[in-house]
Amino acid sequence: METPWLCDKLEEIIRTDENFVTKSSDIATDVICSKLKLVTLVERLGGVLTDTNPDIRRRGTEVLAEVLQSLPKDFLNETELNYISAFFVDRLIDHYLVQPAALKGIFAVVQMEHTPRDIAVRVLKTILQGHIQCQTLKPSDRRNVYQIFQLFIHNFTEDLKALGPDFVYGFINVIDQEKDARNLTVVFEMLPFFIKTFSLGHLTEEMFEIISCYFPVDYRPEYGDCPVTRQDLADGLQKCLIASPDFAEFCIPLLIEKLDSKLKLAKLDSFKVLTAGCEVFPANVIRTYLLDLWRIIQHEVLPGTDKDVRELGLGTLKAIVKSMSAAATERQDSKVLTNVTSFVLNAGVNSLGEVELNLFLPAVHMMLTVAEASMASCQEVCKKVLPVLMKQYHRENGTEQKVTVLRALTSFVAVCEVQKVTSLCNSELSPIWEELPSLLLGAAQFETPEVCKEGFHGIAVSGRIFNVSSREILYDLLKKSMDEEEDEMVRSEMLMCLKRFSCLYPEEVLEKIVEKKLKDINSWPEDGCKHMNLVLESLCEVANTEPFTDLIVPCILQLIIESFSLEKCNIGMKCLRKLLESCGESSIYQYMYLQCDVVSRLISWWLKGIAEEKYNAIFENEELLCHTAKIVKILIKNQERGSQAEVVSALLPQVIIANSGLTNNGFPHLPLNQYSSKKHPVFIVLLEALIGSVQQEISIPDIHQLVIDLTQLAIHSSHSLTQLSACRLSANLINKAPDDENLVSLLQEISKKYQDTVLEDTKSVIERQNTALVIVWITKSLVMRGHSEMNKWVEYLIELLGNPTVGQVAAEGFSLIMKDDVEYLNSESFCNVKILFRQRFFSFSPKLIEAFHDAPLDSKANYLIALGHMLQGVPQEILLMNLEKMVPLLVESLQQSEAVLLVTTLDTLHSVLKNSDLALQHHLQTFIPRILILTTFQKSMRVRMKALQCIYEIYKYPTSLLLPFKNKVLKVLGECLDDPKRLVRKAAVQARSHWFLVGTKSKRR
Amino acid sequence: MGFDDLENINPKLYRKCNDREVTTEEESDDIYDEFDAREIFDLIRGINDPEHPLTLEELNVVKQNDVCVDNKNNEIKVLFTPTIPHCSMATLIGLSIRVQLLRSLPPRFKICVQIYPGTHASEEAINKQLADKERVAAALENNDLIACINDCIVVD
Repeated sequence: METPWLCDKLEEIIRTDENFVTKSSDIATDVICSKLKLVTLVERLGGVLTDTNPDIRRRGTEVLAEVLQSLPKDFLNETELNYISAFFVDRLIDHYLVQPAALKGIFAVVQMEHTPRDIAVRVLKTILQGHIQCQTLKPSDRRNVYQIFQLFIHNFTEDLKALGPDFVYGFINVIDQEKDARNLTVVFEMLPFFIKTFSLGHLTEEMFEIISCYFPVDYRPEYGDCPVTRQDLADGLQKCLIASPDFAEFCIPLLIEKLDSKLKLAKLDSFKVLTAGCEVFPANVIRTYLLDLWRIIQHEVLPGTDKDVRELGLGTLKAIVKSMSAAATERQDSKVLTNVTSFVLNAGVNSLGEVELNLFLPAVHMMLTVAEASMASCQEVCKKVLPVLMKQYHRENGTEQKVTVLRALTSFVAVCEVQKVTSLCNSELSPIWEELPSLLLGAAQFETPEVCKEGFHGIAVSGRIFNVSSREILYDLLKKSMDEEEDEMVRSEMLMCLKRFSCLYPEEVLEKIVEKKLKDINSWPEDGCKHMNLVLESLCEVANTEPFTDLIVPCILQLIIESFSLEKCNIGMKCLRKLLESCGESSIYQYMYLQCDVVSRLISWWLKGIAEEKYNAIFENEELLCHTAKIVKILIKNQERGSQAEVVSALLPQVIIANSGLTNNGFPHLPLNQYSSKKHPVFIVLLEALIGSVQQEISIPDIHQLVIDLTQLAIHSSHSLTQLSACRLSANLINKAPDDENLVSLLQEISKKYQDTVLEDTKSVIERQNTALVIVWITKSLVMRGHSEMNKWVEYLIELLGNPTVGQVAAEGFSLIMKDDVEYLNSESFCNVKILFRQRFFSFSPKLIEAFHDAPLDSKANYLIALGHMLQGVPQEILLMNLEKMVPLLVESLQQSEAVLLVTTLDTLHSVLKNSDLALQHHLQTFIPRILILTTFQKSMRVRMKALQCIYEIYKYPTSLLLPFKNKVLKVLGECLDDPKRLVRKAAVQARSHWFLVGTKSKRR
Repeated sequence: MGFDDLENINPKLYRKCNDREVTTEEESDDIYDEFDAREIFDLIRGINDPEHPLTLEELNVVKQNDVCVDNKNNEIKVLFTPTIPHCSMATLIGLSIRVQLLRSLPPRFKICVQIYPGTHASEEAINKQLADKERVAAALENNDLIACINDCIVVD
């Protein structure tokens, strides 16, 4: 059938089909591809457009409007639009049924590119003459009106300005009394521009009235209603209220009035508007209301009963002081500012007298806020407050009070630092600046560590204030504390202080502290190691900045290599490691690697030491070995590819030869016959450090044999560090190896070799379990890189779960696979890590579940544990997506008796309950009784605690879901209150006291 | 109760003690942990004062030393000190402590909450009220009162 608008049936069909307007976009498509001319369309619509029945006219107009709306914005030229707009403007004075359609049409025309210039004036005149009563239209039609206005005021600003106050007046009438939230967002969006662009003249107050009637916004979106929130409206309204400086005289009294209300929301909104308004409103107007404003702010901040209100109140105070400071500078009249600061100081300084009273901290907070406002206000406040606080410090005797005063002092000094206030700015400050260092130095040497700590903190903050003589005293103090201070808190503040001064005065610190300390190091007696540890640790804090690095690092290195004392080595090594781990700057890596040659020196030192067998205490020490490995690893990891290749080719053979003693041309094998050799840990750990973190492109010779040897060692060694390193390194190598036939054949060999061993009853249990562990690590490495062989390995691992000997190891392996390896098997060490590898691994869960159903009863728990680990490792979203499928298994798990399984399952449930909204709401009936049973699980307190934590999380669900369980839960938890373990009782109390709130009117629900 | 008429706008503040450190004994499944004064103190120290956003511990209303636990006879006694002798909130505070303990301790304990001797003007009357089970039960039937108490004692 031919489409009606292409033949002459259009008129007829519009008359009969009420919903024909939905076809408009199809008509528009035909107009666009020139099947139908717009003129023809209008001609064919002619009958309906001029019909005597207003409803038919409406339909016609609406079709035309919708067609226009669907046309491209540049489709029509100005002449065409002129005709069309003339038509629509005429319709505006038509019957009330036709008006909305005409507005739609005008909105479509106004959005066009070639909109005729005079349209705005024509349309507005019609609207302003009262032909359209905006507030009697439907909300969606009103929105059209507002959007038309919005386009007009942006596109035809000059034409509209020419209309003068009439336009402003008309505009006010149009938006007056709007109630729809969505429309209000449009209105609030255009108002600030309108107010700033058009002169309001005598209508200013009128305009303010129609805006301010919405303040404070009281609006609750109904469920499933429009997406506008209260906050959106409040933010929009705020911009309107402060859109013009002329609003100040109306706005401020309004806000003062609202601030006097009891409603928290009104206070919060008013403070927000005031804070923003202070940047716009003229200072002289603000000034006239200062007294009232201060009265209100003081009430809310000193001490203030509500934290949120207090914070915003302080924000407003700061904004006011800022505005006054600017005005004072502009008029060169400091009185403008001192007026307001004197209010604050009069109220605040009095409260400084009693440190332990409730008002002390709020007062300090308030005056700090004022100090933060501007440089001038900072001076005003500090010259009054600092002397009082300093006097107070000397007067107080208690540790706590001294600490509180010091903290307050330090925060004021910190603000001075930010505001760049020095003793040069203000002569009244210089005596204070003179006295402060000695006060702080005294505090840093006070008898209680809490005070010392604050003292050092204060010194670090006020570093610039210290003059030469007080610095001398400080350096002596620092030198002494570096040796002697043992309190952790004080020490760390002291070191921050050292660091700060080494930045401010590097040469002095170098000469007076660092050089002196380094001189002592070598002459230290064996029993002075404790001091040495402290001193070296302190030096390392500054070692990552020039010019200290050059002095300190070589000295420590020398200590390690030449001292031959285990304790000294350990201290030195630990310091180097800490320095590398904390600095994160490439300059240190380069310096240590290139200038000091740390990697090869340390490795040669170890190899030599091991060969000599003279200092076994040193070279068999695992802690020392781990520190070294970490240092080597960090340094190599941070080198360019070229340097990495060099290190590997130079040092790898050395390590391997030293270990095996074989050099028969080819690549030497590990001496597999000596699994208990004491050299193995050194060899394997250093080997891993050397090649575990190099880039993938660096080729490692004869990987195949190396991996086989490593896995053999992992299976047969009884030394846990060796075993871990060997497993991890083989996984690392397999993960990084190029994906070619060599890798496939290696994997095949390993699987052939071990998949039998692991199941062979003749082998020892330990050997079989170790083999299972190797399989787990290799599976992890394949899963991470998403290798095509992974399916086989994962399926095999699932098979192992059913084995009574190795099933448990395999089950725990699922956790190993899911978790990140922080040491070597990660992307930082250049491993292949597919982003979604966990999800891919999780996709084996259906297989796992299937295997679970077929498994014999005695090994079912292993499958559930494995599944539990999978669920814990997978991202929450994936877990939630699969939750329904998992629920039966989770329930099954909760009925088992293995504590490990129960803890894992409860952990999963806990995180689901805690992090997702109501995901388990349909299963509460299933879970609550089962979890409640576990709250008294005799064998393990961890199960009981986890169960109680789950019950606690459930209390956040909606009351209607919980009420049926309330009595039962309270009863069972009542029994837990007498649990033998204190930690369980604590969890029970937390859960129980919250469940008491279910069904009550509490603020917390 | 409006906040505009605080009875004591500037009370003295005390430092909160650190959280109890978990010992290895507490983490072992085989050892029985007795109720001790610190445990009871931990139950009540976080209760909020009805008129300040401060805890009873910060206001020194409750102290660990004023908590007595007798495991053998199943008795627990708590003394509390109102901030000022005419504090009209004393009954409410006492009731809050009592309700919190009733909810958090096994029923085998007899709980006694009293004002520290000599620290409140109407000490005897309040002690009598707090000790009277029926009056406490009746008070807890009052929805507004229990809502107020809930807001004081349940802290996250």
